[in-house]
Amino acid sequence: MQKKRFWGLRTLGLSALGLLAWASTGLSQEIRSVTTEISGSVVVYPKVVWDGTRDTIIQLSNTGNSLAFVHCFYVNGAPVNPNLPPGPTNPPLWSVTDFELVLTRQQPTMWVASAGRRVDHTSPFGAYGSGFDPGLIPPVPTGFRGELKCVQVDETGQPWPGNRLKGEATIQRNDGDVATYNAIALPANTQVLPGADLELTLTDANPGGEYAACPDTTILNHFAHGTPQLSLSSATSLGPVGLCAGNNCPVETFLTVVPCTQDFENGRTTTVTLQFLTWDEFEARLSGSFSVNCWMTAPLGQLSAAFTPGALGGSTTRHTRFRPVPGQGGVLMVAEELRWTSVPNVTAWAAYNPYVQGNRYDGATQGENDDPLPSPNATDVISVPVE
Amino acid sequence: MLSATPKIRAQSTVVFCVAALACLSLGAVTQAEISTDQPGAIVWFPKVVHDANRDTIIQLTNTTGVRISLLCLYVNAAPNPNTGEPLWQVVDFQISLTRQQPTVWVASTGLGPRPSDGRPEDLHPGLVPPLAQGFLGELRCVVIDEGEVPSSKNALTGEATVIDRAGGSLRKYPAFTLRSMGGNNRDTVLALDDREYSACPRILLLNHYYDQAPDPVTGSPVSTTVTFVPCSADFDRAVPTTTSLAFDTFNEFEQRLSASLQVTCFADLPLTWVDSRPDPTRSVFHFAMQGTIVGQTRIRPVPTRSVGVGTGVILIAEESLGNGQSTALKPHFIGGALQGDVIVLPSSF
Repeated sequence: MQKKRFWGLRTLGLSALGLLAWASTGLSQEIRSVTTEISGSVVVYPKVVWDGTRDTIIQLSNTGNSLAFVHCFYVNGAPVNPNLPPGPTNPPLWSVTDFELVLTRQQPTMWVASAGRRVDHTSPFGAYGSGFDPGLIPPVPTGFRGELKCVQVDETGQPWPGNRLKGEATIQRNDGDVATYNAIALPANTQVLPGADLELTLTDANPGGEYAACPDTTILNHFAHGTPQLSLSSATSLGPVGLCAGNNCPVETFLTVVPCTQDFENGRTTTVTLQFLTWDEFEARLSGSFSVNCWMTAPLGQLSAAFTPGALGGSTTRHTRFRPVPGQGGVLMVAEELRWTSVPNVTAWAAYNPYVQGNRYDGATQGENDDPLPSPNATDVISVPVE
Repeated sequence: MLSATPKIRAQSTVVFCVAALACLSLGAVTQAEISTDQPGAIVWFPKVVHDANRDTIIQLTNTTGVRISLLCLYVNAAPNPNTGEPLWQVVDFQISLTRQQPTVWVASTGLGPRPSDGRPEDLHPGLVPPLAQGFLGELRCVVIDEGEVPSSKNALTGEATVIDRAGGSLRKYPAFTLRSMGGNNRDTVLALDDREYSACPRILLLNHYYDQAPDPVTGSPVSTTVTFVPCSADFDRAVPTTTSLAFDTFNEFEQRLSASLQVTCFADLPLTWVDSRPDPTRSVFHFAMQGTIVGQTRIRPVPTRSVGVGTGVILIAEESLGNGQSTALKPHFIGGALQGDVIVLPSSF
């Protein structure tokens, strides 16, 4: 009798263990927004560059305890004519190169964009390429400026909602200057098997969606473009490489924007118009808009004069909110800060991920006076080629 | 004796079941963890430094359409020159931000009591004390209301930029934010339990270069510095929190090695000091040991048996790559802490 009771309790214990495992799985399912701190089923590196001066080191990891199959896409967003500035008459190339990887349990991997990574089982201990080769990774061509997107798939190449991918990108200049940002992850609903069209419809209000919906509003804290550096405003202050003669060492912010909707299958580009509101420290506000076709990276001062110091009250720092126009899909962003010094051509870069609010599918953010904004009702879709 | 064994087993199983179900219930309520993606009601800069070569620029923004007040606490955790232990000296101050207002200050100079740029008094955030040279520690700011009690307004975002003149580099990281979850009881004990505020992470994931691995672009050796700050802090009684961390590091050969570290109040150290301070080449984080350039390290705060005291930590890492240039690394998270952490604000407030 006692033995029977014991087995009953053991069964109960095993059931509890099973439930606990289920709950643990459930925890990872509860994240329903794009994120730079949780692993996901799609990871986006908005800015990858190799121009002969700056190169990009990609890190990608499998955070799970089983194999992860990955299908990656390099998207070259450099202008068709690299000698002219990008614009309507000089659109982005939007050429796509894809490759497939396999990561073993908890495996990290890395490669340099300009070098790629070969499958070479003879790589010596400690050399570049040492470790289990994840697969053949092509080098990007010189002049590459664009994004990298990796989608978790199953062994047949079908998209798979495993939520096991995370990554980082380090943009490094050939003199050693570095700027690192986290890749943006899109968690997926593990209860839904996606097709070749990845619908970004997973939100708190729509837990049956496929992949996390893109953010409605992106919040960027930055310095007015070209404003003199705070830290260089006195003789005893610090600068990246010493004092700044003449207090004329500006700080600039560069923004990289990628539309969430992408059609790799048919090679169609997406254009999104972004509206922005920018505030200074004096509660003064300006607004404006600009369009992004396929991929864009630009200094804020080039996007709008509203971001320059003279446009508002001359305060140093800014708070800017970006939001796509109603009906259009979302965007993903990463920012870089460039600090100049009084030494010619000596600068320092830093990259950072902006904050986000709401989602483009069914969850708008609040307006500038905390008034509710209409829901954007936009569905982003990433179409990937599946054999 | 023979009949006692299954009885003990049965009792153990019951205990296990209860524990498992308790964990299950905790897991079920763990929905939103600490973040660097979304505005919050508490903003946290885990590393602020002012010394001969480094200074920190703090950016702080109110993302709402109403004026808010903040209680901020600087914690100086620089090592005591006599004992080597963190000083844990706390300085607090209050500032206000008008609707959608950003502000910025340099840690070494702070903000004066009056605006120096001619702006109206009501647009000046308030006095921010300058930090003395030798400061190494953290900054936390909590949204409070007119009655100076913690508010539920998820209004804050922030960034810290550490400028290193010696290395000629910038290290910029977004502040960690803790969201108010709607269960704010307006007392000075802030529960990071996903009921009052977001919980600290259960596991932190850090992708990093192994120490002294060659930078793949310049070939220079890479080193990583990590800064850990326990989530729990008792600013009222000035009692620092101690937490144990378990490390599992995986290289590109799928090989795993582990280490552990105890952190009291604040820890800022090279990654190899986690397990092998006297001889870094013997560290599990050293390139000579691992043989691959990068690794993935899982860091797990070890739960304690104490009730009401969490063991969560947050982490910021700095990686020094080619020619001494460095960058900040933000970790990834898995889940919310099983034990809720607690921040106790000073009672004078």
